[in-house]
Amino acid sequence: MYNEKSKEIIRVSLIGNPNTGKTTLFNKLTGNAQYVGNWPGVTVEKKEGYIRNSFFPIKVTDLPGVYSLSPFSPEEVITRNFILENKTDLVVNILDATNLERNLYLTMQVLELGKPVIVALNMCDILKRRGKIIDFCALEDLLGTPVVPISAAKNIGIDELKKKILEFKKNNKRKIFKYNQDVESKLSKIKDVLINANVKLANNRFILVKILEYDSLIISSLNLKLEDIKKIDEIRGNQNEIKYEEHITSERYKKSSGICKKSVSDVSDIQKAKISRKIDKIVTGKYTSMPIFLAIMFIIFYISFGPLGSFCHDIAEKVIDSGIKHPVEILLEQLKLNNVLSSFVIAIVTGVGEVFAFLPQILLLLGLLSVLEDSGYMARSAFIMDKIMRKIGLSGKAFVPLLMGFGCSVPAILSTRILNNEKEKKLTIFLIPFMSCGAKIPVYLVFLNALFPEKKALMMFSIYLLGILVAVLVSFFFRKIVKPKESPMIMELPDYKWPSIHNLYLHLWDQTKDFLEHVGITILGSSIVIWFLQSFDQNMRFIEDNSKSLLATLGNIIAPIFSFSGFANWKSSVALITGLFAKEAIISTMSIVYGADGMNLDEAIVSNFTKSSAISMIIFILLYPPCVSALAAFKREAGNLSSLLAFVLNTSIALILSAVIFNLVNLF
Amino acid sequence: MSESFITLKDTKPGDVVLVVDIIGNRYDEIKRRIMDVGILPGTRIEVVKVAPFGDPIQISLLEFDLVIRKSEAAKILVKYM
Repeated sequence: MYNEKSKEIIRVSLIGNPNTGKTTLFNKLTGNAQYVGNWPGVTVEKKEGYIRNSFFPIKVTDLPGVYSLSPFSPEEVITRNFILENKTDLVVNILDATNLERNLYLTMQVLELGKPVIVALNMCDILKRRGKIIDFCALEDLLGTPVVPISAAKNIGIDELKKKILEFKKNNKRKIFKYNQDVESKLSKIKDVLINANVKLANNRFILVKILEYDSLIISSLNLKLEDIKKIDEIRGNQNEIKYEEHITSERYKKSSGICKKSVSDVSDIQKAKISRKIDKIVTGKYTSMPIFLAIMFIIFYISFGPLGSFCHDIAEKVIDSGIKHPVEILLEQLKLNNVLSSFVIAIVTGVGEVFAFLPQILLLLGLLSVLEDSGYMARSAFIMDKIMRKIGLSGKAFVPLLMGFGCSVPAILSTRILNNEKEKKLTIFLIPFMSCGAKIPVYLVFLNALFPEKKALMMFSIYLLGILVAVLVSFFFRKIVKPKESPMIMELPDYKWPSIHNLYLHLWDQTKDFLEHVGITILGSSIVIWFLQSFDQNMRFIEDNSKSLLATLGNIIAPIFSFSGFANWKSSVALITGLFAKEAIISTMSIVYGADGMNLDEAIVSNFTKSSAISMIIFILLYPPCVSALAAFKREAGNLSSLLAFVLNTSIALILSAVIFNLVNLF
Repeated sequence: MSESFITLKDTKPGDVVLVVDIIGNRYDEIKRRIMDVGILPGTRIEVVKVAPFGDPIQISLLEFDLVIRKSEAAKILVKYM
């Protein structure tokens, strides 16, 4: 019985509307730690995990949130193809119990897909507060599927759901919801055509309905002969007379609404407790929204880069200095190693240590952004900013990916998948690198700490602002050339909720892991390479004076292109090159190359940079191409040509602007 | 028929309206999106507010709040209840 292992795996997929708690449920079922956001469309890619149990493996796939299974957005296509391609044995349809009618609309389509379905009614704990009671047994009868009330966030009903998943084969009865007679007769006629044409999925009700709904993707995927398509066209009749797609949509909603009426009783005599509405009176109010928006942004910057941020950085620096650097130095002295080895170890420890000291500060900023997202404010910001964003050719929805760009370009670029217009998506991806990412923070701070210690917060604010300004200009020219068509924005506004500590922890842990893996390895690797290149000359001799090193030779080749920008020396050039691997590497490289002169980074910057050349270098770092990981994400989402174009564009803008500003600052 | 009704774009915050029809042909993506989120002939919509800069608008239907641009709202024919 147990020989064929593959047969023993149950493949379960989670389907539901955006923002119904799918990812939370996924985490609870699989014990995984996926980050959960409070705005529609956090799951852009499908994710997989396993339910642990003693019987047989259960593979769970978390599919992107969708309202419908029409062919209009990539999420919808991913979701329905996943089921149609037979990659699942059982569908768990998660519904927001507080918003049953709309959620059941998707259920009506999911039931047509022909797979066993279990309905998980989420947020049942909030129902009572809203003054609603759902008769679960009635709902089970009406839908013909098992219904499990759960609260994914509070871990209620999860075990019951797992039990239902394990015994799903027994509950394999399915109810078919009939449309009106006219629709049904057309469906059976289409079925006859498909059977005659030997189409495999001829018995799949979903396919039949979609054909009647003029779903061109489904029709073309069936590879029908021209004569069969003609027959189908005849069945569907004149499109101006009967609009089947409207009939079908309304019928689905009528069914959903009917089911709701029979299973939900409203015991509240007051209007819905709309706390969110009350909060929104101020937060999205006509005169209060912009001041609040700016204040929130300012507070985030002030906390991250003001006194608290600096304090975190200082503490981390002290810990690294006294906890790692000093012991290592003492150890090296005791061991009496030769010059080469000890200079190697010290260079690496200093370089990597410099970067890690910024981890707390980066986590502070990312944590605050994550709280903002979790609370539901991000979606409000899309509502507030839509009009302004449209002026630069984007929708309010693009605001969130751009805002995420301040954290890290990689997830920001991936999150542009929520945009359903291809050109708008591309434009957003182009603009994301101008949103100064978290990795650049330590680099700016190193310069600011050394040369502008009094004006740090203001300078940081100006740096970010400049990035945004450049993005606006780029977008303006982009639209002059491409002329994209405006895409619709129809977005659900989630209720406010308290940010969950667990969620925050998951997010920060994710970021830390990422930092340790990606950045740690890159920094360590580049530190080793840089140390090697600066410690040996062309004849592979170990040298004390790094101005004759391989690195200096390399840097001197590149340096001339920075001659108008005020930092045309080999040390900055080399640091900028390593910055292409990870922005933090700029610091570790600088601390290694300047460290060889016996200076710490602060002193080195004070003696090697003027205020104007430091500003110019900061601007170059702000605008030049993002790191390799971001470029890889860029290439994946926007294609080879676009990423190449972006590389050239970013480099030229960075060179021109840093030169212009350097010379302007010098004038005054 | 469209002359006798107004569109959702012409409503004010606080208005409660019934959807009469959605303008557009069957290949119209925007029309399908509007219908998929539950805005259908017969749906009751409450206009909640207009965004600070005049667009988009926030509406309430079924049990949830939705943000929709005026250009999309102009495709939704409604009448007062």
